[in-house]
Amino acid sequence: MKKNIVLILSLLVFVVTQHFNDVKAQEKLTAHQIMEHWDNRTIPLDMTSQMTMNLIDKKGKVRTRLLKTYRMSDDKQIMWFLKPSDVKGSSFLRLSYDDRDDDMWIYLPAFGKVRRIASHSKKGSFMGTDFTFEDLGDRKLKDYNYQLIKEEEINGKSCWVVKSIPGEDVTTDYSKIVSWIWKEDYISLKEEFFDKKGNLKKVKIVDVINVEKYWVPNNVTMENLKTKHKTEMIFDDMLVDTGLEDKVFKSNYMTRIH
Amino acid sequence: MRRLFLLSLALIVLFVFSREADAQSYQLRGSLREWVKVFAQSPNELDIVETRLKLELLSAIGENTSFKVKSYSTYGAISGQKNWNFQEAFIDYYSDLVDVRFGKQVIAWGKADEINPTDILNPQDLSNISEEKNIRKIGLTALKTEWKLSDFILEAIWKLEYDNVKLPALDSRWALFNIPGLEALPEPDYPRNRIKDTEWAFKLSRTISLFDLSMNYFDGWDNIATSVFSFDPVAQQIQLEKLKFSRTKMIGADFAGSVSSFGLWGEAAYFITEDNNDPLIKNPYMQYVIGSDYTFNNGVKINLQYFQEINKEKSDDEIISKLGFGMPLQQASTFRLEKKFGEIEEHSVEIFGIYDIKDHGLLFQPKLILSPEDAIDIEFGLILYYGEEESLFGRFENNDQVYLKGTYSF
Repeated sequence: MKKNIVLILSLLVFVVTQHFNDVKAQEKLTAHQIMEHWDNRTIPLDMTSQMTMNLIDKKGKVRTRLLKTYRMSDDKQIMWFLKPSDVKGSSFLRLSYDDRDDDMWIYLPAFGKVRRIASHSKKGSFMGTDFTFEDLGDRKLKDYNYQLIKEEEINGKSCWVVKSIPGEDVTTDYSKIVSWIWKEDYISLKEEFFDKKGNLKKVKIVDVINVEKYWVPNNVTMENLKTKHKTEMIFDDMLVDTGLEDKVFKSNYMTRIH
Repeated sequence: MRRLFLLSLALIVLFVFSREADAQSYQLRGSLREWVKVFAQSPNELDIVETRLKLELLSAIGENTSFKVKSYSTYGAISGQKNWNFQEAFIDYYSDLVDVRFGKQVIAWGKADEINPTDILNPQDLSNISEEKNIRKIGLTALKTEWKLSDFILEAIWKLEYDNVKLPALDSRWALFNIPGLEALPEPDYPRNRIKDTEWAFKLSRTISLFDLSMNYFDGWDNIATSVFSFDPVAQQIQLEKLKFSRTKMIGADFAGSVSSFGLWGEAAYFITEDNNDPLIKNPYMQYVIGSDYTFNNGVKINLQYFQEINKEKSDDEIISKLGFGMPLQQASTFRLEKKFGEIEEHSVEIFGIYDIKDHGLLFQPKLILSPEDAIDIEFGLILYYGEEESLFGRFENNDQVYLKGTYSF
């Protein structure tokens, strides 16, 4: 009996100590370490979903797009427009690399061929939304310098607030990005984007849900403070780790009928 | 023709709604377009008042098979002409090694904008030269295979059907040339329907670093006829005897990518025609295009291209086109300026132009496209021609036009 009590107490002490060690380790993280965790956070190997994009102008008028999306970790993404009818059949492919800018292609059925998107065009809006091609791409950890500003709660979730400033050689539309990184999962729940003059230009809010042990965005809203326009991305029918194959993320796959 | 059209439409509708399969597996989509073009010069005649219905039926059958049918029905109020054609009707099969497409189809080659020397698999209907290029293309029956070979994609195409470029009538305002005493071109000698007269083509593509690259090869028929002249001893004059098509080989290549913040592309094609020393056939000759685009911070996008045709064996003075009269563009540049605007960049203003460097002519096309609602586009534009009389665009100086186009997509 005494042995059992000692054993249980020892285990308890061990678990509590480990917890406090983890908390202490988290509290000691530098801005760069936080963003390293952000960059390396556990995400699904692949994900398929149906995405509804609501484009809301300053008068509240809504235009809706419906897309089917496939994603492989953070490196590969392909999507097809299902609605409205004038863009139905169009598709978009993005491939990310560690050592260089993303490659992006767009397929417009009217032209019958896949076109590569030039790097400067990435500043342009993605299909009229408040997301640019750059916003949809993958930010490279090494391209930015980081500074931990404060800690703050969003919707009951405790976050680090980290400022990211791009390096001189980085092609970007922003002078800085401020991110609220959720301590539990290292996903960013809110981001503020500042233009080249340092003015706050856009704000992105991310709602997350848990899908088979992964925290994934299910609602992402980007608001342009200058135009008072916002875009809402709502993800439905999410399936993760289904074994998507690499062949899906090729330019010849963009022309397939869905 | 009308009965056939209605019957086919009824069959399509019956087919779609009688299937027990999930209705979402089938898509019926299309557009209705109204187009009015008026000549700017007095007496401001109407050139086109046209209604066009595009219908596309698509379906994915399981994961590995799909089909698509695309047709256009056109009614011209000025000409009274009704026209209906299937531009595409094909079946796709997908596998890990090869994708197969069989049927009537349009195959688009080339990475340049608007002018594509390697894009020769489908001829164009140029009877309305201001029509959009993707609609001008004539679908042809072919077996197309795409082989996935590691990082390469090999396209192998067997064209079973031949057709030629459709030119504007000789007596129309849009005639590209005039032949004294000739009101219409004779019917050409078409290639015979034999296996050995079919056409085939290959294209090998790959992405390397920042660039998409491809090389291609074509063995088939020139889709523009060559004139055969003879001397009439009675009339003591040279006359057009017939039109014929020449067997042609094309070796081509293209690339597209980015350098710094600029998009960059190029396309080149080298043509070798079996001409039997026919002086009226260019042989061999090469065409190439290089281009670049850039988007400014204010959202204005500019696109510039340079095109040239090089004929190695003949000087400029000796060059006679396949049609015998005039040469449609040997050296030209194109420019396109585009700016989107509106709450969600749903509207755009665009200026497109082609400058004929060799013969000093210009095509200038400004246009405004408004999209007040999803699926509705209203386009207002001008088509202006300038140039010396001998130039391609100079021929049409009295054909400046104003147009209004409304499209509803469903």
